[in-house]
Amino acid sequence: MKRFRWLLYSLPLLFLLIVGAFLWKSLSNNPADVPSALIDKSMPHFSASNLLTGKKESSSVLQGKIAILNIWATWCEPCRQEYPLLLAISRQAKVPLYGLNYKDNRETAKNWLRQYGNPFIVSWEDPIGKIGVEWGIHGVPETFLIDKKGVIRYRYTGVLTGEIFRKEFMSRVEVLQNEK
Amino acid sequence: MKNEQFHTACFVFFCGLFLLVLLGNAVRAEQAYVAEVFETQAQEAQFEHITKQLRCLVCQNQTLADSSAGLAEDLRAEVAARIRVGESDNEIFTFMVERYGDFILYNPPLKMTTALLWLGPFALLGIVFLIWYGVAQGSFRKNKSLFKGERQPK
Repeated sequence: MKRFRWLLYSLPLLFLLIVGAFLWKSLSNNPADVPSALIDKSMPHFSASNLLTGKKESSSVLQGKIAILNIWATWCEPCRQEYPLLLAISRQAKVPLYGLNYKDNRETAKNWLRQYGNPFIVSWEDPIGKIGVEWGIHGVPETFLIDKKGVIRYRYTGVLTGEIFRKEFMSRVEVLQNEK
Repeated sequence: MKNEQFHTACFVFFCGLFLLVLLGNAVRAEQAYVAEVFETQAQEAQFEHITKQLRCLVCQNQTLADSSAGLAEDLRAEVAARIRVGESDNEIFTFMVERYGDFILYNPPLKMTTALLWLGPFALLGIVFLIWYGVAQGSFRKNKSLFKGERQPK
């Protein structure tokens, strides 16, 4: 019976260790990593001004092929960190890269593209964030992967790195390329 | 100071501290942003009611009503615009959840996946009570002889 009591008394400690392990693990969780509610849903279509030409263009150009939409802004410091990668992606031209200029100033954004290079095939303007709300954007930068049918298949919140791009995007692109 | 007086003093001190904290929370600071304007009081009430039930996804422990983040401003404007065209609470919550997921609701909905979150504390309380009861019963039985006036053999 004495041995049995040891087991009972050790239960709280065991419980503490288990909960502690979960809490420790969650310390390294990223709070911005909220899964997109739009995964596997059709992308919210929009018609917005092309940042460079000023003409209204439809988002339907994203459909019919696998495409990546990057949400960016000149005021967003982390966006600058992923910029070289975006330029590299556009140079490699394996997947078409489009941009949404989020809550930014048109002239500042245009000068930025002129100065640092333009990785986007088209960059749409979203000056007050209306399109952002439709896409469930809650921070910048965010990057969406859209399939041939215009369905959103993946969303990454945060600065893209080469590793994340390879692991999360290119791996999915390979799978999606075999889809109809 | 005697031991008992010290304990009483501590108790009163912490009670006072606790009350102070409660009072502090009751006195809310001014909102850090420009408020939305509505035509009717019913609309204002609806706005307050809805924004207090939505989460700011930037400052995730704040409601949409409290947060001064840019996204919170945008979403408040969106809620206000929808209220002005007469959308119901349900329609507005549905709009938000469709785009931002369940996480945007400040109180997680009761579903199969969140059952553990909601019922967990009560279940835990139940388990703790059972353990306490078991241990108390055991020690009661052990000390029963004391009530008969006998000393516990060391």
